[in-house]
Amino acid sequence: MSAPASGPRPTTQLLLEHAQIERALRILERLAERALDGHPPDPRHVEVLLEFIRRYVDGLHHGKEERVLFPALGGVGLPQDRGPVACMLAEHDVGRGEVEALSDSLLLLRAGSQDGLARFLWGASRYVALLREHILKEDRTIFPLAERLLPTPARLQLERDFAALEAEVGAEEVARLLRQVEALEAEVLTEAPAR
Amino acid sequence: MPVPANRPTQALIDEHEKILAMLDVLERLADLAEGGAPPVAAMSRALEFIREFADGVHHQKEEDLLFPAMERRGMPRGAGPVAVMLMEHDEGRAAAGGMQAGLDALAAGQAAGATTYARGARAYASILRDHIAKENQILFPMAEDVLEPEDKAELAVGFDDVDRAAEANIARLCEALDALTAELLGQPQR
Repeated sequence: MSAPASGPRPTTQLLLEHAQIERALRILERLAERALDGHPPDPRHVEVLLEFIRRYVDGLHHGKEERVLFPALGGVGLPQDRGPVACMLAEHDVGRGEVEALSDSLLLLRAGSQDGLARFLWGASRYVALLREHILKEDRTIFPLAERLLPTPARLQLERDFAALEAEVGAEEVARLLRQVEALEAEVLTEAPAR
Repeated sequence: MPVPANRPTQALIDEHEKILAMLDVLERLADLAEGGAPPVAAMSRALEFIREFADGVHHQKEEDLLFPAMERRGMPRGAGPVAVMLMEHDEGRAAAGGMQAGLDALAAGQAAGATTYARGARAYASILRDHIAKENQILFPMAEDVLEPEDKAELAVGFDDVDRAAEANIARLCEALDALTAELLGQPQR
């Protein structure tokens, strides 16, 4: 067993990031539930979530997977153009489409349009369902597979590449994004359910 | 009346109007049932309307046609707004089950059945009012926004098929609703 330089092993990092992403999904889900009851989301809240999704989910987390982990898996016989990895990549893309839909809904919401509510509900519901299922697949299938298939040198390389990506986004920035979600959690999830 | 091919949810909104009229009847029946002289025949006809029109014709259109169409455009059935709608349909069915239990008890000579029916009827009215508001104001506009013209045309045909298959029954149930409304709500209440 090799001693990692510092911090959790690569797939554990991704699992922990999934836990952070789930926190944002819970907030988005609550906003969607309230939208279904006729209460439009506060555009500021949607903005914070969109920023988190773009920078943390798509930038940092999917960056680690798409730029580092998946190519590494290619080296041990899991191609990117078919099979489970292709499926994960396709789901990342569908997710990006929903993010665009959410972003469009934000414009309408800011204008106070009723269509904004419907679009938001659609995009938010799809994104939450998609990501939850996607995370489950990765946690149960892709990450255990990576643990089994990747030899130690490849794993050490993953650690270095992940660290480089973290540095690219910036530890301060990651902390700021997580703090924003935490603040939103306090604001949105502690409100009495609208009914 | 044929379902508008460019706006099929309008047909469902029209059906909601009938169901809402029945909810007023149900609440009146709940009061009467608890008042000591439960009008069993009317209570039974109201439950029949719920089972066969609200749950039969109307929820069939939603569960077998509209929701699957939304699912095909990417809205999951197991989570999110469609899941909430399905759950509320189930809650409505459970409340209707309570009304049936009340009628059964009354038929077996147990006076307490009137209270069971009344409780079920009030629960049903409350669940469905809330549910209908969500569908009319949020879910249907969302469906109209995301469904493609061919989905809508297909839905209109599907809704028409359901109507045609149940034509005689729908006419009978709507007459029963009118009769109950006139009988129970026609005069000034209370």
